Amino acid sequence: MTGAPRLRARLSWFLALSLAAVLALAGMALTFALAQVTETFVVTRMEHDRDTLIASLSAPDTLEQALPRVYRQPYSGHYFQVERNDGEVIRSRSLWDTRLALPSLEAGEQWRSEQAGPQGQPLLVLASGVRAGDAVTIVGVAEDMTELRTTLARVYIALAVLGILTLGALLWLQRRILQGLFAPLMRLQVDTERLIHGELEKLSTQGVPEEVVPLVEAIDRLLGVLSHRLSRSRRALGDLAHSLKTPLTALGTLEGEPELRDSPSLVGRHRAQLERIQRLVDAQLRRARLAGGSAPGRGMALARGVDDLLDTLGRIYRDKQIVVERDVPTDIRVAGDREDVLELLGIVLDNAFKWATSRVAITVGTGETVRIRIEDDGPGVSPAQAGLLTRRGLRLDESAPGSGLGLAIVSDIVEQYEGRLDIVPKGRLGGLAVTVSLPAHSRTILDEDQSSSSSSRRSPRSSK
Amino acid sequence: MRILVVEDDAEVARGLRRDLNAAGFAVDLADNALDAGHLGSEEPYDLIVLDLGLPDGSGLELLRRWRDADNPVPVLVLTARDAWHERVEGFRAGADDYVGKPFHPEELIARVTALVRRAQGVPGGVLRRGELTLDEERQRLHLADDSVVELTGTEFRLMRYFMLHAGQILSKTRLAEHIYDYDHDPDSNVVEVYINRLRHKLGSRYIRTRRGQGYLFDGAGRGDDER
Repeated sequence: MTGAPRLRARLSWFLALSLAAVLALAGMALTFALAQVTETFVVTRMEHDRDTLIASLSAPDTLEQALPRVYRQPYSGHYFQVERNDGEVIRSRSLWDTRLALPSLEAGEQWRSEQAGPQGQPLLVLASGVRAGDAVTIVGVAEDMTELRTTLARVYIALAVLGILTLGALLWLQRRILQGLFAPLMRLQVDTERLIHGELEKLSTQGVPEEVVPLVEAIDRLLGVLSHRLSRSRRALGDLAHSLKTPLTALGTLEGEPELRDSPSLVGRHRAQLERIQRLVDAQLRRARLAGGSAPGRGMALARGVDDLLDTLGRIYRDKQIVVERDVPTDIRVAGDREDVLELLGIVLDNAFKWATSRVAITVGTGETVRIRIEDDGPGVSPAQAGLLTRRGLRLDESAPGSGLGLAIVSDIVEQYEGRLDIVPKGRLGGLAVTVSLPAHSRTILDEDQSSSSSSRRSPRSSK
Repeated sequence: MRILVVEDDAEVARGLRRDLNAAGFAVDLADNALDAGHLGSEEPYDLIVLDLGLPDGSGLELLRRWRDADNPVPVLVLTARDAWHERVEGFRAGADDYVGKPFHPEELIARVTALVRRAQGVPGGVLRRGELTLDEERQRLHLADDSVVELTGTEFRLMRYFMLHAGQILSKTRLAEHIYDYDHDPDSNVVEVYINRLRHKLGSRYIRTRRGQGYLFDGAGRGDDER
């Protein structure tokens, strides 16, 4: 769960930041360009007006007529001022009673500045020195920038809003794309989780992006290797059991030899040691042989397994005439290795058959887990004994063979599968009632809403 | 009762033969699947004790072959592989009982006796036919008047075979085949000798002669020799 989301967060942050940066740069460039263009436009017009003024300097009375009307309207925002060397100042009528602050300039010198206008508005002022005979006349034109700036500001706001909207849309789109890209990885994770619980046999490369296919294939190969190793070690252990048990049997048959038959105490000691070895071998081998939840499995069809066992037990106990009440839904699968589940149920059912007077019941309830209840109408046990039945190692210490009920093994298997074992000393039928809860094997998990259902169902210790 | 023991471990096989002999069974041994397959198909065994791990093949395969050939002989599987999924497989292949190694000889004898009885449709417990009761453990016979007759090994085997097949006509050859193992080449005259001994011990009315056919046992002791 640690890799993918962080990768996604990093990618998404990186993309979001770079998008924002690009948009901000674009916005800055755009506003700068706009300001440049408009100011250049304004300045050019003012230069034209100034040039017209300069051209009209020879006839000072017609100065106002040479320019557009706007220079005659008071505070119109368009102003001019001509300062002659002799101190005479001609101002446009629009200036009314204010005047522009113009510097003294050399002939041909240009000046440009911004200053406060008649009503405090920002004015852009252009001035240049013009040679008139020996003297220099200063010609200045000014324009109120307020409206232009207001308009520009509005344009900037509109641009900013547009930019933010674009950024939002792009971020949303990017999120969708990332989700789309990561979806196969998330599915892979869910599938792997199902693999762990034995609901899948191998990962499918279907719908997986081409770049990820090698990873999936590598995982599948790993699975193959692991399951091969598991089956090999299981086989090796089985062979070990076989090869140990035969010499043990041979040692056991020595008891019948005439030489030994005459010394019963020796036979007893011999037998006790043999049984001890046998129990140790049995217990260790059975435990080691458990495939457990870690084995890639395909789940086990419960009803068939139960029928196989009932058929077998019916033959073993055929002289007892036991009536079996069987209530097992046909379509249930248990998430577990078939051999393990058969061993578990075999031991519990065998006990039931062994102790039953005439009836054995097996009932399966479903839900989050599969609950298998096995009862008999035998003598049952006392509540104190019930607690001891599953105690680990009890079977090893026991001196009487076969009296451990094998429930310690059952307990081990159940634990391996993160299931639950409940023992009622006197059940519905009067005898022992053993309930084994195992995780259900669901093949339809992909159709459900992905990881949430699988993780809650399998959360390791929640069922304890 | 004659039993085939299929077991590749010589020590175990020897012990099994000794214990089964002591319990009144004639025993043949086979230590490989080939011999076992042949013997099991050709000889009229009352039971086969079958080890599953044989040097030249799986005992389960052998069992399936016998069952496919409609050989109904009761088979007791004797194996170190006694996990439940293996038992299920064993019974599915046609086993009648399954005993895990290592085992206690007494337990095996009890299971063998029960299986032989079941195969003959005779209920478990004390073997009783009419007035006669066979004590299989001590190999002696209780008569109607509560007197006890000790039996030799061969007499016991013969008596048990009769009592398990009461009311059936048994030929001398059949009797010989079921109370002697393969290595004893039984002469049918020997069977006649033992039958005479039995008649001498019990009285002649239980075992009748059907001329040209064989013998007929009736625990109630009704009837005479000649029809």
